[in-house]
Amino acid sequence: MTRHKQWIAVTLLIASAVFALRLSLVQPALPTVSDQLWAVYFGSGTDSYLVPELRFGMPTINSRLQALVTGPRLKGLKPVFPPGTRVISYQIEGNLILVNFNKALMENHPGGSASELVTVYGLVNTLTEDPSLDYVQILIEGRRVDTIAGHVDVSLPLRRDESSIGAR
Amino acid sequence: MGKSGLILVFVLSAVLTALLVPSMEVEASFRFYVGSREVDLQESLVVNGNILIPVSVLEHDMGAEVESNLDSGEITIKFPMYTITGKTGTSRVLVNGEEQAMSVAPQLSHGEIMVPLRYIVDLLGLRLNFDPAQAILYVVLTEEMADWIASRYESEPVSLQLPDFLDPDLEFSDVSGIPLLNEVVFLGGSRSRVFIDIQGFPAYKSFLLTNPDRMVIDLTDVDWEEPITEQAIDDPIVKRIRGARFDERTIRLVIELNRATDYQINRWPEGGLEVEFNYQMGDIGYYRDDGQNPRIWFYANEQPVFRVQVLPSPIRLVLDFQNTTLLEGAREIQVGDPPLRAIRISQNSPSVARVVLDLDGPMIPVGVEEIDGRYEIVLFEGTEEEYQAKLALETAEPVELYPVIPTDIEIDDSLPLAHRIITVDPGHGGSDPGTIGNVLGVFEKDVVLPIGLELGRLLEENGAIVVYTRNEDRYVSHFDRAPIANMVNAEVLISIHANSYEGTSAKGVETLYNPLYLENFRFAQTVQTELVSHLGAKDRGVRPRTDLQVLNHTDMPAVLVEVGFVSNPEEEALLNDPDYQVKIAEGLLYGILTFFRNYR
Ligand SMILES: [Zn+2]
Repeated sequence: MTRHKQWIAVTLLIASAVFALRLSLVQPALPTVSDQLWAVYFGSGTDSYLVPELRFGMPTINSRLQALVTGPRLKGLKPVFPPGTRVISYQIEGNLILVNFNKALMENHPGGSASELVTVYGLVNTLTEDPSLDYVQILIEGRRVDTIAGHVDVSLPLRRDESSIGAR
Repeated sequence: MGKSGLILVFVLSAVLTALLVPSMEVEASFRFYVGSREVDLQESLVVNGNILIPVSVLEHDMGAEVESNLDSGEITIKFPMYTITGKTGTSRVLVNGEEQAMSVAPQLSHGEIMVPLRYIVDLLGLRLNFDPAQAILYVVLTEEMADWIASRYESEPVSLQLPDFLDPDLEFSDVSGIPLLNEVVFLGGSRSRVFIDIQGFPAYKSFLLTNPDRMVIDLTDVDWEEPITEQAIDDPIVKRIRGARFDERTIRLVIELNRATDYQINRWPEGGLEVEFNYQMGDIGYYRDDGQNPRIWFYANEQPVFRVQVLPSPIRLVLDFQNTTLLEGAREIQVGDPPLRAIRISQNSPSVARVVLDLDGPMIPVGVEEIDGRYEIVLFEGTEEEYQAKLALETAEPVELYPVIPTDIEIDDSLPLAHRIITVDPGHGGSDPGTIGNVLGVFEKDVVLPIGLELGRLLEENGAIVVYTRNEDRYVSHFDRAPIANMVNAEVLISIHANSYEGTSAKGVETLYNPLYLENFRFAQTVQTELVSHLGAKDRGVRPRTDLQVLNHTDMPAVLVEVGFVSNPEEEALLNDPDYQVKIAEGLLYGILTFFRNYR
């Protein structure tokens, strides 16, 4: 399954929106549709894998981050960030995004490699849905930390991990 | 409408209602299963609420015999009980010689004749489901149909059984009727959210108007059973919500505002629209705190996420506050506290408030603190690299690695692990408790230490020379553990951890390994098998990871064993039980013994 085809390929919707806009010149009463389908990754029920939850709208970096912070809407999915987690800021350098979190991401993290992997790759996979981003660097109050909960090495930028997605 | 069907329904109804073009087509984006088997849909169309699939899929994946003529557009589809004949461009078809109407006419697309899937599925008495969370469309087969398909394709058998991540009872509702507006609910919060409860996925148009400030949402082809009641709202942004029929096709909702501010509209998966207004940003200022750290403070109802940009010559630090409206317009504050010269504040776009720091030297934002009802951005005078270097200096604790290789022991050469050096690594320790149990509050570090010590004792009984990364409750960085094993030339490293996951249901044993070397996989597989069978625990399998600190820098086969979940109450109690800890150590020993017997 290729990354952008499966989940956000409904860019065609945008095309239809453009089409609708053009139509609306003729028939001014027509509304426009500019929603895209985009994915945010949350933890699955018990097997600790990532499951995409689909959203409609215009995905921005901020809306992707906010969706992660707010948590899943579908029942049965698990949040990927511990309570109290806030995003302070982000910075984009080419295909790398640095995301600066408050300390709660680390301090409130429940631990265990299963939940740590879901935290890390819920973030990385959700952000790399954006076609311009390939790498994610986690910062905690500006600091490059070695790890969030003692297992996954997050000292360097992380790549998308397809193997974390879906049921096994 | 139910929870499901959202994507397609949305795609369809949005396109349909928005465009009013009788057969607007949208390419669908979902995975497709027929019974147990995933089918690669090279092509699919959504036309007026119907998913069309190529007839070749019926032929190759659903057991039909198909004859088609691309020139005339005529098709014949034969299933055991039904023969369907039809033609592209007309929805009238003959089923066993009797005239019926398909929901939408077959049509030609990219050299394939496409037919409505729902029609075929209904005719055959099957069920079509859609899982919106996974974006998987799937056909639930009957026994007869599964047997029939299986008999047709012996090489790739299809069974009735769905993959276990698909729910056979999920309901998939088609586009049905006109979206219905139930009510408009003020949810409030720092972004003054308003929820428009609509069954279905309407097309809409929204805009801001001034004099008086208000936001308008025109919902097209939406009905209501009764007009919504006008509501007065006590909120910094939203003043009043009302709605009226605007014209024959449009319901107009008006949200009167205390001040015009940009917004976002989100669709909810069950239908409905959520309006979120921007964060409101008030006064902004600058000072140095007691530690002489420069700080930018600002008032806001909540801290908006900001994007950071560092621009060179002249040096500027640009902070773009997302989804934020400035309450007090553009302005410039002269600071004159080197390296900060001035702060410029402006509304860069309706959704972005921009704060630019004009600088003579580099400065980066580090954290944000909430103090006395305002937010303060803590700045560091220097570059990102300089900041990381400063932190590294501050935290550099003297690393004392003192791996002890026991030398004064007598080893019986006939023992299975005689003279083998094995590193036992109980995870976490000291100030790092690891994960903490849900019910008893068991610390991971306190569970894995006795398991590790017992394992070490058993290994020594079998002739091994055991080197611990820690043999007491003490903090050792996970980065320092592989070097310990490397220093003593250990032949294997076994890292012992206890797991945790949101909720209480996850349980079982899992072994992680670095797939770079085959030996790691063999070691993981062996340990996992022996431990699971000795404990009778749930087998979560082995998991290849290239990103684990302990496993990435070892010169020898290494595994990280998650021996159970402290987040699961039963397993937490077991892990806390000394007898069970001994049992785990035995399981790990058997894994190591088998590994050495088979591969060393
Ligand atoms: Zn651990």
